[in-house]
Order: sequence, then C-alpha cells, then structure tokens
Amino acid sequence: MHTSRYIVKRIILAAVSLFAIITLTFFLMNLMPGDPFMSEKATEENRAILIAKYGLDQPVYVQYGKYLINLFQGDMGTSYVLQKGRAVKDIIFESFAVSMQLGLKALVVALICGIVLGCISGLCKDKLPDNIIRVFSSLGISMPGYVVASGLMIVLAVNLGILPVTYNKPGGEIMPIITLALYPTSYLTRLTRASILEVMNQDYLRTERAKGMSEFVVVFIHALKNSLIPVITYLGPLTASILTGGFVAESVFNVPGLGRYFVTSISSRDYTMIMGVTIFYSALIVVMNLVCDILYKVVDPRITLD
Amino acid sequence: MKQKEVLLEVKDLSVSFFNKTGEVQAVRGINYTLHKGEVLGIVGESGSGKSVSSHAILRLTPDSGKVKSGEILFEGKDILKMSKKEIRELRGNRIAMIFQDPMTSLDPLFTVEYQMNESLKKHTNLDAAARKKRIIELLEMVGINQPERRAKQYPYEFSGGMRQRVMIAIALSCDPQLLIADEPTTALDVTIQAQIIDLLKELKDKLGMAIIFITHDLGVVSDICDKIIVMYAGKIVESGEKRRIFYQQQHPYTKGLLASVPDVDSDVSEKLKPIKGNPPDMSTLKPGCAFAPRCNCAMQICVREEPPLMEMEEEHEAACWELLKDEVNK
Repeated sequence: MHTSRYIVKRIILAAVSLFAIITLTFFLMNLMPGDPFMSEKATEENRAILIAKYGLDQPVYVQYGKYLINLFQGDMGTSYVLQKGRAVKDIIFESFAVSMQLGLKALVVALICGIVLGCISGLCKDKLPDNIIRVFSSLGISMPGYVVASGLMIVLAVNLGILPVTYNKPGGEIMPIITLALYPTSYLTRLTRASILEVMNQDYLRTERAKGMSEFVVVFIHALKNSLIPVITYLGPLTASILTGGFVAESVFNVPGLGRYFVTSISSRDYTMIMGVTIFYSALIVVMNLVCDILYKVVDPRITLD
Repeated sequence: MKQKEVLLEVKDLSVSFFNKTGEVQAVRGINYTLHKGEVLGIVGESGSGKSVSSHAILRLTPDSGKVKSGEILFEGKDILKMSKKEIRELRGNRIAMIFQDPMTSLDPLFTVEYQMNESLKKHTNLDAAARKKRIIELLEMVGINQPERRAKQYPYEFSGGMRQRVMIAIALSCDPQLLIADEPTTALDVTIQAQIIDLLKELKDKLGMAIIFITHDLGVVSDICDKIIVMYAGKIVESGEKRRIFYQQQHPYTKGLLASVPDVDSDVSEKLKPIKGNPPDMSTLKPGCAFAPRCNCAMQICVREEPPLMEMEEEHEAACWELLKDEVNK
C-alpha cells in the first residue's frame, strides 16, 4: 500500500505548515506593544541592558533568523518572565506531563460516556432517556468552562465539602477532569446520537436481520462501527486540545499544567514561551490529525490515503 | 399432476403503518399459497403493498408498522406467533431474502467473507475451514471470478450486479426452502438485470427452492414465475398461473398493466399507454373498489362496495364487479 508514502507526504506538509505558523507567530508577537521586561522594577538603563542581553534590540528579522537557527538545533531558548532562566523545553515537557496525565483521563471519560450516552439516546429516540440525555448534553455544550469549574467548586468543594479545592490534594483531580471532559462528552453524545439515528435506517442492517443475526450483533457490531466514523473525525482536534489542558480548568484548580501558559505567556510577553507553546500545540494537532486519518483508514476501508 | 406440498400459506394478512395523521393500511387482507419449488411473482405499483406483505413473512416490518391480523404458516407453523429466537432461526436459514438496492444492502465496513461467514456460523455446524470452503463455493456458484481474492474484498470494490450476486450467495448459503426476492433487479442496468434473473432461474432449478419474486416489471415475472399475484392498494386484484395472467387476464388493472408494457415490435411513433390517474392515498381509503376512480369500466356498484376475489377457473382469481356484471345488473 501507499500508506508509508502518504505518511511521508503528510509529514513534509506538516513541516511546511509548522514553518508558516512559526513565522506568523513570531512577527505577530513582535507587533504587540510592550516587551518582556516592562513590568520589571528596574530603571530605564537596566531594562535597556536586559533587552540588549537577550538581543531584543536587534531588527526583528535578525531575531527571527537567530531563533530559527537555534530552533533547528533543538534550542527553544529560556523563559524571560514566567520561570526566568529555565529552558522553555523543560518547562513545556514538565507541565505537559501534568496536562497529559489529566487530559488522558478526561479523554477516556469523554469517549466512554459520550459514546455510551449517544448510543442510549439514539436507540431510545424520543423516549424518556433520550430526552434527559439531550437536555444535559445541550447544557454541557452551552455552559462555558469557567461556569462549570466554579459551579463544581462551589457545590462539591465548598458546600458539600466532599472534594478538595485544589489539585494537589487527594481526589483533587476529579473536578478538573469533569471540567475538561464535560464539553467533549456532550459533543460526542450528540454526534454519536445523530450518527446512530442515521445508521439505524440503513439497508445493510435489514440485511443483517434477514440473515438471522441477533439485535445485539446488528446494533453493537454493524451499527456502532458505522456510526463511529464521524466520531473519529472529531477525535484528532479533541485529543490535542484536551491533552494540552484547558486554560480555565488549570487556572481555577491550580493545576501546574501547560494550559495556563497559553494565556499567561502572552500577557507577560514571554516571547520564547509564546513561541514554544505555540509550536508544541501546533505540532500536537498536526500529529493527532495524521493519527486520526490513519485510524480512519483502519475503520473505513473505502477511504484511500491519497 | 402430482399433489404439490404446501410450503407457505398467507391467510388474511393485514399490515398497517401508523403515523401522526393516522393509519395507513398498506396490506388489507391478502391470502395466497406457495408450494415447494414454486416461483410466485407479486406485481404491483409502488405502494401496492407487495414489499410490505413480503417483509412481514420474515417479520421485518419497520417499527412504525404492525401486522394487524392474519396468519403466515411456514410448513404449518405460524411465523407471526414465533418467539424472537425461533424467527432468527428461520431468517437466513430456511427463508432468505435479497433486496432492491445491492449498493446499500451490504455493510461497507466488513469484507464479503465476514458477512457471508456470519450466517454460516449462525446456522450451520461447519468449522472455520469448512465455512471458508463453502464461501468460495457459493461465490463461484453465483458467478464471481477469483472467489478467493474477491472474498477478502469490501463491498465498495464490487459493482452493483456483483454485489447483488454476493447478496444471492449470502441468501443461498444455508440452502433455504424459500427465497424472497424484493425487486432484486430494479436498481440494476438492463443487461445486468437479465444476468441476475438467469442466475436465479438456474439456481432455482439446481437447488429446488421456492421463490417469491416481487417486482413492478411484468417482463421480469414472465421470465421466471409459475404463478403471479397482482396487487393494487394493499389487496390482491388478480392471481393465477402465469399464462392465464398474460393471456386471459380479467381485471382491468392487470389489463392496464400489460397494455402499458412497450412492445419491441411496435411502431416507434406509437405512444406509451399508461394507466391514467394515480394510486389512491392509503390513509384515506374510500369504500368500494380502490381501482374504480382509474377504471374505464367502473359501474355504480364499484364505488359502493368492494368486489370479492372470485375464482374464474382453477387457480385463477380476480376481484372485479365486471366479472359479475350479469348478476349485478339483475
């Protein structure tokens, strides 16, 4: 098969888009007013020294060239502000490990709950379970993360006192996982429901019944496999975003993950961190999409990878 | 002529669909008998109830529909009273079915071998190797070249005609006594249609099964059937041996159907002769003969009372007041 050739082609394409993202981000970032040292309680002179030390006084294209050269050597520089002096690479890997651990759990929760609830909802169309699931999935999709996070915190941690407020206590993972998983669970529920409803009317299920297959085989082997195809499409971006952690979930519950850095690196003009986080997230999305496309091919033989 | 064994008896079968506006009477009390090895053609326009009545034999009526009354006796046992388990034993094993659209009737995500293996595994005691051998045999039997290679392919790698052959192979895998063919050639090209009909004829002679052949194409039934039932608005309007239907048809609807078939030998300038009007709305059926509004020879009684099926001669029945004209006018 041409699968290996396809993968190579996709990797080259991915490198091109990554390069475009790096370039765009670098120049846009430099268009922002301010610099990493504007909040330093230092005299004008000292700030000028710092700026010169990091080479930020040079023309932007020179900085860009230097950054690229360093990047190709695997050096993403050191953080200017957030964790001053530490290598960006180390910060990303350390915080990503936390986000990923949390994200994987949330992903598993979302996948299992979303698909199971979607199936129940689709198979009981317009009956009571379907109506209840539809109300909650609509709620889950429309509630912003900070409402979910603070709502959970008020009810479960403050009022009932059954879960700790912060992440590093025992059981502290539960609320961030719920916060991270709620939206994808609800979305997957609706996606699976719609997909199951469409598949249940397909002729090939009638063929299966006419062959004497049990309803279990008809629904859980033939209908389910067919209805998961659209779900796989959503899986790529979902995995990337859930693994890198949500800004809200991590901020509210004080999780030392990567998600927080997306926002804080920008507001503090920590140039090397902005670049590092952006490159990492883009690469993750590209890889996840590629994995999804290959998974697509595994599930659906009609797909050709060309 | 030796006494033939009865295989299937449909008695007073009625099937209705229920929607928000009310009841749609798709099949309204039909009766027929099918003998072993016989080929019965059920002919009618779309919505005449021909497919619905046949799906009811395997209890494949969609959820919105319901068999309201009647009996379907297969080898003396009422299918409508069977448990779910019993009916599953019947499906694909003793009674098999092929459908109208081969393009959508196979699961796109599983190989042909997998889909054939499913029914063999369920209905036979063959081990994996024997099943595999049987699959190759079946594919060969329905005229698929290179069966070993083709078995491992997915439905999308087959053309429409080839898929219908696969469907037939699946249907015949457990040597059914009855094959229900629901418009198996409608979605196919004319040349492929002929191939599929020839294949069914050949397999029928070889395997000796009975076939119910549902179609709206009289040309197709003329080729393969022994007996023909003509359905209109959920009822049988005429039934009989093939020759009687083609040469001594009595019901105006059957006459209209036959007249509307274009003749190859006729003058090109000759116009097609359609039956005027449309089939009735099955949710608002009026009393009287359902065909009366489209009938050239409708009488007063036709809009008042529904004509019963009357036996004209042995194995030839029709439901039309015209046949009783003399008595009606008395």
